[in-house]
Amino acid sequence: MQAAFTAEQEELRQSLRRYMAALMTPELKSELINTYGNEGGGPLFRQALRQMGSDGLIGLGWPVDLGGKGHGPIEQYIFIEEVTRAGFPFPYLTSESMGPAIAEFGSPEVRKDLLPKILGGEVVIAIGYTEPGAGTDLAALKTRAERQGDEYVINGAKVFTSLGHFADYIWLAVRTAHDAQHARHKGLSLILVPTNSPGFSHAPIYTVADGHTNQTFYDNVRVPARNLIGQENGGWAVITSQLNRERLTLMNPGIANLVYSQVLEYVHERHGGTRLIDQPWVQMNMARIYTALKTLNLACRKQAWGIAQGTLTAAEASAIKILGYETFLSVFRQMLEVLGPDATLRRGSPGVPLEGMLDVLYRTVPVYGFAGGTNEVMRDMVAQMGLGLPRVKRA
Amino acid sequence: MDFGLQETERELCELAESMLRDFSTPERLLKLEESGLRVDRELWAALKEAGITTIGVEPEHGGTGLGFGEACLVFEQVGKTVAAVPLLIHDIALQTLQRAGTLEALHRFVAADGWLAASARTDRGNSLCEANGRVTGTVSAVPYAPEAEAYLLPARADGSWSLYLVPAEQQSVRLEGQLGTDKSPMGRLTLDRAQASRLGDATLLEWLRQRLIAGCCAIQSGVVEETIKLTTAFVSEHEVFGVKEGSFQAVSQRMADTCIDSMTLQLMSRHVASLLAAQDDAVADVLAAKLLAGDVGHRVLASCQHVHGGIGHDRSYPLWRYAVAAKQIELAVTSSSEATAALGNVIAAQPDLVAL
Repeated sequence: MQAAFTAEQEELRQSLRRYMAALMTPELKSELINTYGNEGGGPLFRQALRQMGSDGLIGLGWPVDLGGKGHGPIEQYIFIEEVTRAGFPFPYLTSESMGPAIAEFGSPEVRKDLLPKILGGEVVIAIGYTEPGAGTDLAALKTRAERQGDEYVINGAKVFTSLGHFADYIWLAVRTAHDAQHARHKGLSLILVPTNSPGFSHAPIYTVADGHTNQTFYDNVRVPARNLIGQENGGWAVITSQLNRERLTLMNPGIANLVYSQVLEYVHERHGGTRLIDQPWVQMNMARIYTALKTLNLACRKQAWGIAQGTLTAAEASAIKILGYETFLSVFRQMLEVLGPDATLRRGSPGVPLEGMLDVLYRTVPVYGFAGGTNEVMRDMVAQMGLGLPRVKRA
Repeated sequence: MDFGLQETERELCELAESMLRDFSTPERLLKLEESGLRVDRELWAALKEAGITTIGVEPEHGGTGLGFGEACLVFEQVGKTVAAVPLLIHDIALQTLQRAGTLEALHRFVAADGWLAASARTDRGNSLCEANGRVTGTVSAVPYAPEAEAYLLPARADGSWSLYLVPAEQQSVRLEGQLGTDKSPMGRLTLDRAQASRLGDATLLEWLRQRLIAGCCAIQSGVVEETIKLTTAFVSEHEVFGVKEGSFQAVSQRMADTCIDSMTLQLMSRHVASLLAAQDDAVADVLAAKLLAGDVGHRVLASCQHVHGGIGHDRSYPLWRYAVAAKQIELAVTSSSEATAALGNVIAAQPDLVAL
């Protein structure tokens, strides 16, 4: 086994780190933090995203014939790690999940129109899957689309449509058939809905993590039929096609690595004449954090390598989601302990360590337990596909 | 970057596993355990014949010439089969002699039919001191000391630890047989001005210690993997309330966690094996791996024994051997908590030790 990156990959990492440091100007940081809850959507965010696109960074791992740089999944993983580390809210699902799905399933017109825009950092796509009555059990969704001539007419409502307040498109899962033959996931389709369509609207849901997600509403929204991705009633195949890649991207340890190095620096500095790292319990916490992060980093690298080899299984991809979430939960808690009562001061308070980043991170982590598939379902997949246990009965 | 096994590594694993499995049947292990010395001499002779007992020794010294990474893959198979052989201790002891350049002794023990025992402990269980080339004191729980040809032991001289080679056959060495929780033979050695040759200083001792720890992690990885395999088979067949036990979400969720634990332990264990194959010192990751191996062994065995119910305690069913093997390894060389404290010390001394 060999866990190290090649010299070229290390060089790529260093050049990305330099690039991102230059991209993250104080003005952009200020816009991200103050105006948009660090989710992006502002003019400087859009400008930076287009800059990344025109500098050829977004399509790093995409094939050359699609306009990408032709690097493999390991380089793409390094890219996500460095972008996350820099604190830029890169809309990675657009390029990592929906982009590849459009390349695979999209109509020629949509491919021709959208793929260059995705690679150019000109569009952001939000996922519209979850409904008030269909989250973990996605196949229960009720938003419907009806074919009328060369259009689909969409009616329904979605919830937790993150980025939906500024996205250019919603990657919408809808029901297109209602007979017994097309029950549950057999009657779903995937339609790309421009957010400037009449009848589309959204309302904010403010979150505990200082961010905001949305309810989105579809009231007789008319969309050209060419915006159907894949076959009518074939949406499930589109939705599941990118899940492995999506889960690995979601659990990228870039930000945790960054905070660990900052906490490490902090505990070695003298504060009031003493160093935190000289306390036995701080050493114990740091040792546990080191071990957990080392393990997660290795596991994520192995997955990126597995994607490159074409050997990654659904059980392994599910396992990384569970491992990532549990690791983030425990390491951020232990880091908060190390930094003490000041660690739970909110950003902007005088004396807050690490610019209040840990306070935001611990409030963000719970999302990882269910985003991209809830961990109970992930564990079912690990048990059934990884171990071969009998299927868990669902009503 | 390569997280897979090479073809030759796969073949080595298959060869070692099939030999170890053929001999380590429950009936045979029971007989050995009742004989008072849980060592399978026939299996040992077969492993020696196949070159597996000298895996880390260069061909010019009569060994197989494979690396530490390959040795650890074989240790995984020892864990999977809970085989009654001193392979880990003997093989790493030979590598230590090679490292120390003690070639006459190396050649002798490569050729011998028996095995070497070794300990790296420097805690209160070891009072050995050296003076004028003679070693005096007591060391406890030395794995496979009974009937070993010689021992590699740390002893203090002038306040610092060194590593010594102590021949077993001498009047001034007294061995009291001890029995490990996994029924493996161990020994308390009391030395009274015993003959010993110095192999190296504290650096060599640390070299040995890191390899013993990495080897333990590899064994634990195998123990855990096989335990999960056994348990998966059991809950897939065993019925409760008219359905298979493994179809209850409470059971399958718990088993999923054991699967993730096993994946991470194998990864960390192979990672440190690859580091030690390439460099002398990898202390931070070696300690991290042992911390994980102890925790994972504890968690996985607790879960697997639990979902078995009473059968997990029945000595006519194989699971119990894995439970005691996991605990033996968990406490061997250094425990999870001690490794955590030691790793904390390393981090305190190295402000630039980033996780990756």
